[in-house]
Amino acid sequence: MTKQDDPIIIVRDVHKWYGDFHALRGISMEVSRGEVVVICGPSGSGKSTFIRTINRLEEHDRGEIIVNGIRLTNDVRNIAAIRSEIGMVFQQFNLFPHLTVLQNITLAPIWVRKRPRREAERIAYELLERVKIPEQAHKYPGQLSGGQQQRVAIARALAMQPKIMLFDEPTSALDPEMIKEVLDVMRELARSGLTMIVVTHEMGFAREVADRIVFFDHGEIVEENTPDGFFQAPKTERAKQFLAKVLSH
Amino acid sequence: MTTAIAPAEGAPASQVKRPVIERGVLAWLRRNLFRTPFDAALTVILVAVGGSLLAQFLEWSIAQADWTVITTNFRILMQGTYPAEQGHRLGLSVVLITLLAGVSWGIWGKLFRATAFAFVGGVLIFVLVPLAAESLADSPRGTFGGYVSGQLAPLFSLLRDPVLLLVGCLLIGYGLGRFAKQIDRKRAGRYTLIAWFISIPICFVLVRGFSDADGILPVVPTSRWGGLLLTFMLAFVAIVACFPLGILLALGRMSGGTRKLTFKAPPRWWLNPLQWLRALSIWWRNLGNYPIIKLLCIIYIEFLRGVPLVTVFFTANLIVPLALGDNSIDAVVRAMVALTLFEAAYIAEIVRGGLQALPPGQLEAAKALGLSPVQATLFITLPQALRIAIPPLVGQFITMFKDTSLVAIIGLTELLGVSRAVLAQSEFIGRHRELYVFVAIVYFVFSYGMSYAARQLERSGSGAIRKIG
Repeated sequence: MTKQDDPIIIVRDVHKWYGDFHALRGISMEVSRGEVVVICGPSGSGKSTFIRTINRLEEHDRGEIIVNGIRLTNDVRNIAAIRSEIGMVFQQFNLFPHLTVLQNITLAPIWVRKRPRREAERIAYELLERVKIPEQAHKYPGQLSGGQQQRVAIARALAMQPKIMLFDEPTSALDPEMIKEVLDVMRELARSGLTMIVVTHEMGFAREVADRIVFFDHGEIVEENTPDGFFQAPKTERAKQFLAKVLSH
Repeated sequence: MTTAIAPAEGAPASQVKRPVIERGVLAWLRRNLFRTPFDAALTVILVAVGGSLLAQFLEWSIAQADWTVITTNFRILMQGTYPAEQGHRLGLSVVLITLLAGVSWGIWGKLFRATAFAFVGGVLIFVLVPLAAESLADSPRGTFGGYVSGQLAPLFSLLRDPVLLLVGCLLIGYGLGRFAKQIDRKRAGRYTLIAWFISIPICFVLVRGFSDADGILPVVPTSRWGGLLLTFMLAFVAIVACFPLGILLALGRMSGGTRKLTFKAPPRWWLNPLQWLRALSIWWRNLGNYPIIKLLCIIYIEFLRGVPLVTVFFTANLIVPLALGDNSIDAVVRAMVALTLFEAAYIAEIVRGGLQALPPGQLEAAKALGLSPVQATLFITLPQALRIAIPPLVGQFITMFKDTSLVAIIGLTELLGVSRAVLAQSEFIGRHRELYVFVAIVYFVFSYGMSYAARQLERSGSGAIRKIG
């Protein structure tokens, strides 16, 4: 299924500045269809900023990003086209608190994809089944636990039937008991062949699910490796130090 | 306090009893009014001062005040010089609005027992006072009996029928609303909203009229609107009009992305009118991204917030006719426009506050889902921002309602202006205290009503919705 010679995301020499702060310093990488890439690294290393440039939540200042054959430029039509191919899951869930779970999931399919309401709702119920909370459809996000909210957020992103899913530290705001239920859903997605880029500190998950691990530090890619290679024999000193810290606690 | 509780050590947690909280009036008084010596002193002083003020006011209002100034001028205070034979049109409008208010209340609000008792009590007073007055008819002036029979009774019997009618309409509406809600809540809500949108222009037409003198609804020129009627019309039009304007100004002030559409011109595009339209539409859509709109909004908002409302009224009243060279625009319309433009600046800032209170993640999530900026605003940010902004918005609407009294300065006879006109008549000279107390009560009743309705509206969104994130 995975065609290594057919990259769905191409990133070339991307730079990003916040004022004088050089947040991304020449990031280049390719992601193939169906590949699961885990990005890790210390906080402030530019991981989140990087995945947010892919769907233009952050604008990059230099370099180019090509998603599914479309080049990211200032043209709003390109941005809309790219965003409709990319689903995103945030650390803080960012569910819409004034809408029910069902409305959260069906809003974009109805208004962006122009699906009939009935069909959008049918898909929403299927997705809720898939993330294992079909009984919560008519509740408001504030009535759900953190783990349930994050699973709704995943279902909301999947409802647009994206080709790529971005996860920005999806379990960092969760209680330890709830992390597993979210990771289980993500494991199932990875197995289904969806292209995923995951920023996470869950090293066990990374090791199990990732096709490739990308280690960021100070806005640069320090190391790219297979999971086994990265965890057993990291090539760089910086990655060794990082792993020593995150694995020993 | 902990000394009163028996030590719970050793006992299993399931058997530990919650400490008993004292109940009753005395315990409440001790807890809230006499907790410390300072509290006690404060309570005593405040009760003494407040009580003496209240006693003086009651003494004045019973023994000295002459409330006939209100009963005599009641009609003019309520509707100005609106022709008496057309008064039923005002009554009909008020009944319509009250019914709708009742229906909305039934659908979205809750009738609390205290409110229901207040209604029944209010109605009873209006019925009982005129009855009681008959038995006290011989009491001399200056005594309580004389006060009730000579002063209160005429006012209350004057008000009895309208109050009965309005409370009746409100309660009938409430019942209808409850009934409709049981059948189909969603549709009931939608139809009620539509009914509001239709009834507003209907009331306007009813009050203003459209035909000539012999027709069904002869026109009543705005110069004959006055009193509470004019106050209402000014406040109502200004509130309805300034709200959308304020939202647009707030959005304008917060606009200013850098994304731009490019016009990819096909060869010889200038020969094809369809391409002209395309170019025009791209130019128009890009305009929203230009800082010029933001700048204009900021200038507008800051300028109007920087000048007193009175100057805006003076401008509308003196400079606009001067600039136009004639008096073609009606004075009342000018006042409405001035009030609308002025208040829109304040509404804009309140709405902006609501928008800025939202976590940025909301807009990011909307964008990431592919919603367009307009969709994200309409479905995600604006509804949440307006819900946050309900308390300050209502505060501003109440301010606006009271601000209408400033048009008295430019010679319009709304409630306050009409009061001044009444006081200028020789037979009512010196009766300003009675009249202004009455005017204050009228303003209070309607302001409090708005405030109460808004609290119901806030409560109608369940607690779950209010929690963001």
